[in-house]
Amino acid sequence: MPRSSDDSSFDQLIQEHPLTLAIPPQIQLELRERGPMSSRNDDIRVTPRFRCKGPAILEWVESLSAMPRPFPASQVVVRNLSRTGFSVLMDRELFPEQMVRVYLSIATATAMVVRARRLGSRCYDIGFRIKTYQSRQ
Amino acid sequence: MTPSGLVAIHPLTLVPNYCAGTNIYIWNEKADATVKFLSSEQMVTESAFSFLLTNPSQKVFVDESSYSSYQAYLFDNLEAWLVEPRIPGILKTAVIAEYFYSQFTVGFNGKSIRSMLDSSSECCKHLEQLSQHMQVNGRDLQRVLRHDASFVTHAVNTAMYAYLIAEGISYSSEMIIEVCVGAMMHDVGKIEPGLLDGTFSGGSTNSTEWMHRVAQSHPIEGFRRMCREPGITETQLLIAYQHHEKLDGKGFPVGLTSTEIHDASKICSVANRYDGLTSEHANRHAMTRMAAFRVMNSEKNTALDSEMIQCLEAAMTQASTN
Repeated sequence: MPRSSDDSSFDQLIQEHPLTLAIPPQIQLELRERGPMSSRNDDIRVTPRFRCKGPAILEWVESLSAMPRPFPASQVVVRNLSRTGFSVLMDRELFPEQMVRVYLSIATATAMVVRARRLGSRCYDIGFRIKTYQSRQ
Repeated sequence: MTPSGLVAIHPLTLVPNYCAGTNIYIWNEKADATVKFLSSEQMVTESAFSFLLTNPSQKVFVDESSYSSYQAYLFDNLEAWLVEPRIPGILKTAVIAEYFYSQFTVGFNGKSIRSMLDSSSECCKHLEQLSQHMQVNGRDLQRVLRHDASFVTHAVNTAMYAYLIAEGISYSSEMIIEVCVGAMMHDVGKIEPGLLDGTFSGGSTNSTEWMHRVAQSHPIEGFRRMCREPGITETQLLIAYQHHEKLDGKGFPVGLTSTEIHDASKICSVANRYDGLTSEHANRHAMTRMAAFRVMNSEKNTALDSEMIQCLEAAMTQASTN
């Protein structure tokens, strides 16, 4: 379990949790892009999303009683974020309503899984809704 | 089409020497109208039953206002009928199917996930009880099930077909019940949210855009609605969540591939597909059993699991032994 942002630097956390993802080539290309994402016609999001590649640490907080499935803290890659949510690339599938804590370079957030999409055998795109957000000092 | 003020029932649920407690009507082709067949006090006679048995397409109805009496007749007698050796297998199958439709309708009308879960658990326990006394036969089942593609009909039919598959691959009794309950609940994500929280105003929700959104999001929505219900299991949640996943990874919502999909979800996918193909839809007629299996066999190993298809096909083509 990672130490909190108060007693450990973010870089240290990243070093302690090596990336185990296998990002497919087409997604690697997409990760180089920056700026606002164009929304689709059927997109029901209320706040715009921005492409924003960066490392983060994801820590399991709470699951569902029928599906406990705890996992060790893992390094993930942030793919995009908005005021209300973000998505990451991760090496495993998470399920809707599971709660996680995410350590970003600029903040710590707790968030709930809202969707998951498989991109490859060890790569899932997981979307989160932010519950709490605390900027790093 | 059902005449106004009447509810269609399955003729084979009228068990000889029992009284349904409600007027029974049949459709008279010559008169082009319904006529009273039995009054509410009359027992079903052997001759009346023989008439229904030899005219399987005969349409039978009860008064809408006394449908609850018919439900009570089913609910009160079900357990006794299931263990009664003189009652033919097809009758027991018809009774259990009608009981399922009635019981799940009660759960659905309870307007909560909890009431639907309770009613589906109750149904599946009876199905398991029935299987201790006889083998539920696919051909009988096809004959007694409704094929109108309504929410309740589809839920019950999918559970019944899932039962045949789970039994075919030798699941334990507990696992069969778990899979059947999950299959009966697999589409709860499609229910208009207002129906569950009491805010539904009765307005139209049939716009193409709304239906497309529901079609895409219902596995996630179903999982989300059920995931905190006491007693729900991982298998049941995954049935709701993964029943539109395909073996080749082209399904939704996650795009999982063959080995990543739970076996119970593969069972539900096959059961769901079969009922979809053999039901009457607004834009497509029901397919025959053989045509449905032709379609499904063309989808094996890309969308559907071949072992599960084989199991269902074997069960649906097996002649009745009861």
